[in-house]
Formats: sequence, C-alpha cells, structure tokens
Amino acid sequence: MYPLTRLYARKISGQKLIYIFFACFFTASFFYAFLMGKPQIEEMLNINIGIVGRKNFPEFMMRFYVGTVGILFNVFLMTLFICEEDRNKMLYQPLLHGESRSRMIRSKIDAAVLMSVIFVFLTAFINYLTAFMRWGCEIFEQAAVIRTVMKYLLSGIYMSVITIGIVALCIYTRNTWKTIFSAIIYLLIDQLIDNANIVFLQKIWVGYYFNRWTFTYEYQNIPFSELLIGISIMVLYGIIFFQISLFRTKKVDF
Amino acid sequence: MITRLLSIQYVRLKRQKILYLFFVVMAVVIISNALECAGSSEEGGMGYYAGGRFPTMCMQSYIDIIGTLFLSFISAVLICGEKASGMFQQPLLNGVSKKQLLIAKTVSIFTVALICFLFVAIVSIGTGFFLWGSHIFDDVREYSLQMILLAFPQITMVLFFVFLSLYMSNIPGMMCASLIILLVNNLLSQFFGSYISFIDFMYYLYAFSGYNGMKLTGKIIISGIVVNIITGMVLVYGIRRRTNHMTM
Repeated sequence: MYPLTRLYARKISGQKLIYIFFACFFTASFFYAFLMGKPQIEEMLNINIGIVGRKNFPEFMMRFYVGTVGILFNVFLMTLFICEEDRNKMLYQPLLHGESRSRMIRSKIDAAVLMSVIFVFLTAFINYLTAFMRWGCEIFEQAAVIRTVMKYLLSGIYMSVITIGIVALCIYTRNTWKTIFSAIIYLLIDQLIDNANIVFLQKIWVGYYFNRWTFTYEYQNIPFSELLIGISIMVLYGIIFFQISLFRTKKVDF
Repeated sequence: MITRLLSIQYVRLKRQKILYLFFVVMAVVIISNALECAGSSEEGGMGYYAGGRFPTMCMQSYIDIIGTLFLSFISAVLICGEKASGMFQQPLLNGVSKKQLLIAKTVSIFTVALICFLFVAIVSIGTGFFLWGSHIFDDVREYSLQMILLAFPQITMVLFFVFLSLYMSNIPGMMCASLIILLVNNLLSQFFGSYISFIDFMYYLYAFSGYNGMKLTGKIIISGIVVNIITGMVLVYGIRRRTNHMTM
C-alpha cells in the first residue's frame, strides 16, 4: 500500500465515532435477532420472523446499513476527512512534501473506498455473528450463504461507487454543509426514481439496480443479466466520479 | 443587547440557503408522499394515511430523520461551525455575555424549528386539501393535538442539540453523533418503549406523532410532558454549566 494511502487510512480509522457507530450497530443487530420473535414486536414492526429470521437474517439486516444510514455515515466521515481538512489548510500538506495532486487525491479515494468496503464487511460479520448467537448453525445453509455473501459483495461495490461520488462532491463543493445537503438530495432523488415509472431514467440511475437487488430480489437470487448490467452501470459511474475528482483536484486553488 | 443579538442571528439565518433548500426538499417529500398515498389501497399500507390522516404521516416523516437531522445541522452551523472558524467569540468582544450569546442562538434555533414544523403542517394540509378536499379535516382534532404535543419534545430536542454542539468541535462530528443518537433512540423506542418512556424525551417524538400505530393515551401525554420538562431543565443547567466553563 502506498504510504500516503496508509496514512489516510490510519487517519480515518482513528475516528472514535466509527467504533461507537458499529458498537450501536451490533446492539441493533442483537436486539433484532433476540427480540424480533416476540408477537407484539413482530406486529409493531410488520415483519414475519419465519421469513426474516434464521438463514435470511443477515440479508434482512443488510438494509439497515447499506442505503440511507450507510450513505449518511460515509458522507459525515468524508466531509470530516476532506472538507474539514481543506478548511484547516491540511489538505495540501502532502503537496509540501513532494506529493503530486493526483497522487494525493488517489490516496484519499483509495483509503475512502477501502474503508467503505471494510464497513460493509463489518456489518456482514456483525449480522452473521448475532444470527449465529441466536440460531446457531441453522443460518449456514449453503444456497442462502452464497446468495447473502454475493449481495454483501454487491453492496460493497455500490458503497464504493457512492464513496467515490462523495469524494468528488467534497472536492467540488469544498464545503461541509453543501456536501451533506447534496447527499440528502441524492437520497431523496434515489427514492423518487425508484418509485417513479420512468423506465429510461431508472435504467441509467446508479442506485436503481442496487434497490432492485435489495428489495425486489430480497431472499431470492438475482438474474445474471441484471447483475451484469447493474455492475457495469456502477463501474461506469465510479470511473466518471473518479475522473471528476482528478480533474477538479488539478484545478483547485489551495 | 439581546434583541440586537437576536436580530444578528436572524439575519445570519435568513442568509442560509440551506433553509430555503430544506423547504423545497420537504415540499417534494410531502407531495411524493401524497401521490403515493393517493395511489395505494388501504391494505397496501400507505393508503391508510390517505385523507384525514395525511398530516400525521407527514409529521412522522419530518420527525423520523429529516427534521431532526436538519435541526442538528442548524445547531452545528450556528455553534460548531462558528466555534471552528473563530467567529463564536466575536460578539463577546463587544460586551455581550456568554449567557446572552447562547440565549440568542438557542432562541433562533427554536424559531427555525417552529417555522419548519409549521411549514410541514401547512403544506401537508394544503396538499391534502388539494387531493382529498374537505376529508383532510376528518381527523383534525387528532392531528391538532399531536401538533401541539410535539412542541414539547421538539423544544427539548433543540436544547439537546445546543448542548451537544457545545461539546462537539466540528459540523460533521456533530452530525455523525446526532445520527448515531437518533438511530439508537429509534431502536430503543421500538424494543423498550415501555421502559425508556420514563427517561427518554426523544421517545415522545414517536409516541406523540402516532408512530407505528402508537395510541395517544392520557398516561402517555402526562408522562411525556413531565419527562420533557425535567429533561429540558437538566439540559438548561448543562448548557449554563458548559457555557460558564468553556474557554473561548
């Protein structure tokens, strides 16, 4: 790993809020696993433990991180990591030590993507751990495990693309509140496009396929063709966001 | 002096483009909710809120995450942002006391909370009237009572955000902490509502807005008001203590 990337990764992992967040996530997963079976809770949350429990539990819990909460959490971390550094005049520090602008932003993106993927895998680990504590080996049904791990991998790709998008946004706006607000607008547009019947827009929207994988194909296998198209669209968005970040960094006046 | 400080805060708030953007976003959310309700059957879930229950649904969407995060954001901008940029102590150079400064900031955040809440109430009733006519007034007594009661947890919420902002050093940190607190509170309210209702003022944001079909009973109303008043007093004490010990 490039030393600057390692330095940035260490800087992000030093944020105490990350550990608090995942401790809370573990508590949430634990409560859901152990208390969801109570009839009054099932009725209140409008869920059926027979469907969402056991082998399906890790997939059910995925929606609590990947999506709104995960994106907001990543936005807050990235604004702390980029916008606040920029405001404190720390962003260009590596340039004083002979690093190039493009190397600096590549390292930032590498560290951010690495962290977002680790977070997704951490949620997967937490959900499997609590499910194992509650139902034991019942959760390890081969087909379900392959399907769930596949969905977590796809979530990792989606969250990486969104993270690169957030980095591009941070570099473009160079302002905390504008970045946070733009991310909230993105989440609302994502929801609107998902609910609307504009087929053309849906086909080219970065979040559309992920929403289909999470909700339409919940506890089911995803068709190969849809998988291929979805990943291609996400990778395309990822490349565009990456190029925007590089282009903008070259133009930035520190 | 306090009037002058308040007018400065209001001028600053009026210039925040985010406030106007928030109104646009909330209007889009309300209209999209209304269209979804109008297009769903009552069995489908959303159709249940069509007509007289629509303002209740909009209050729930506002209270759930958008509104609370927005208020946290305003507190973060007015307190953490100014602290970070070194502007927080500027009025102190002109003879203003720390207490007056904090009162002016808290009152201006209260005003924003009130305006946002009234905006949601008026736009939801207006949109509902446009779609369902006078049926929007079928449950007027229920949602008016909810709106009045929601004032209590919202006031306490503002005090809580002011208190938290005094401890946090930057906007993203404050937002992240607020997100975590909201999620934990949502979790506790769902699973341990009957226990935490005695200590957690945020539980009443859900209870008073009829979240997850919670019914408003006399016991909930009284305990909600009492818990919020006590927590509010503790927070005021905490804010005063923090303000006195804070090095600017």
